[in-house]
Amino acid sequence: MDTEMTGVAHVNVSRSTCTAGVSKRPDSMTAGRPRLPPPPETHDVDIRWRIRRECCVDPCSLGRAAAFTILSMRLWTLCAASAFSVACSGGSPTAPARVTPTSPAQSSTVTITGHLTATNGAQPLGGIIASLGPTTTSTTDDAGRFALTVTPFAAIRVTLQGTSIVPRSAPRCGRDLARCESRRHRARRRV
Amino acid sequence: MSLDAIALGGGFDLEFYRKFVRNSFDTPNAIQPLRRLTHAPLVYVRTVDDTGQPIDAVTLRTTIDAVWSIGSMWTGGAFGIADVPRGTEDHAGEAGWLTIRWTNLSADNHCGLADIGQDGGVIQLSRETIGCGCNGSKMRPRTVRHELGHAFGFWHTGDVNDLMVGASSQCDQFPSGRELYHAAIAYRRPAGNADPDIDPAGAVNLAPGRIVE
Repeated sequence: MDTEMTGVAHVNVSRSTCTAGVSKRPDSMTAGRPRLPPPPETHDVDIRWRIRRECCVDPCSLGRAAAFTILSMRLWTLCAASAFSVACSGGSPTAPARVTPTSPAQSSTVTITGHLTATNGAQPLGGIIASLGPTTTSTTDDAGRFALTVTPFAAIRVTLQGTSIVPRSAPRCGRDLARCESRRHRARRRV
Repeated sequence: MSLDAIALGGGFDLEFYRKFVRNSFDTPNAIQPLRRLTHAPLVYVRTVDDTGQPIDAVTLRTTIDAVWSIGSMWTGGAFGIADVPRGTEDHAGEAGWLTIRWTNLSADNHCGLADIGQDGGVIQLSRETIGCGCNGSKMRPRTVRHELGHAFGFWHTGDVNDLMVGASSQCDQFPSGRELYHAAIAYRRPAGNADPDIDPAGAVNLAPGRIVE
């Protein structure tokens, strides 16, 4: 299954670099920096560990931070005073200043493009209505392509209808439902 | 994202699919969500019956060969039979296993009985029932493959051309072309998929189902 996610207009960061998850970064972003230790056991220390991670934030983290503005502002205040920021040498957190704080409501759409084929034959299915409800619909073209706008990381259920298929309904979410649900869970905890 | 849907025409028959996958032949008013295995099962063949009596060599050999012969037919090639060990143990209820027991079902005139699409499920075969054997074996290869069809998640179709017809006197039979075609579609769907083609939101726990031939 391949997923193409584009957009998030308010953040000047390509989402395509943000797919490794909250706790992972591309190697190129961590090269030359001291590796962070594993999260400590106690709650207090764990908070500092997390703060330091945000100090060393990469553009992906910034995208997430913009989505949770209140938290990120608090974290930046703490980051400035944190002794752990020493570990961020070589990774100056300049990018956060360029992110315009926005409300969560402004940050919540991505366009998911999809491809519909036949279960029995694998041929592309055109003229099928893909929908996420009564207002979000897209009709597949001859190549079976469609595009739907959704809330980032939201679990969605795609409904497919057309005269040439058995009506279908399937849960989908970004790249992967399980990963999506995990991200949603983390997002709720952070907010 | 990639999605797929069942294209109408081209060999797909929704009425047959409902019988075969959703049990609309036997219980038209209570069609079932898809029950199916999710990995290649170890099919354990007991070498003794439920009373401890040994199974004769011909019947045992015929049964084991019939299990192997079904290969990945019931899954559309998704996976087949992992192995067919034999012995006096019983792996009922153990993940990854199907257990073939030898049970006397002659009182009900049944040749076999099986759990439907249940990991750790049981197939019961009856040597004592009249008409269940052929060619020197007390169990027909057809019955073994039929019960395996149930074990992989399929129901009776009511058509004598199908292996899953429900009652037959044939000695040897394999799944029909349309059974293979629709089984392959079913194994492209998650367990719990409901009529007409609705995937479940998450993990599915279905009450066990059991059926007799």
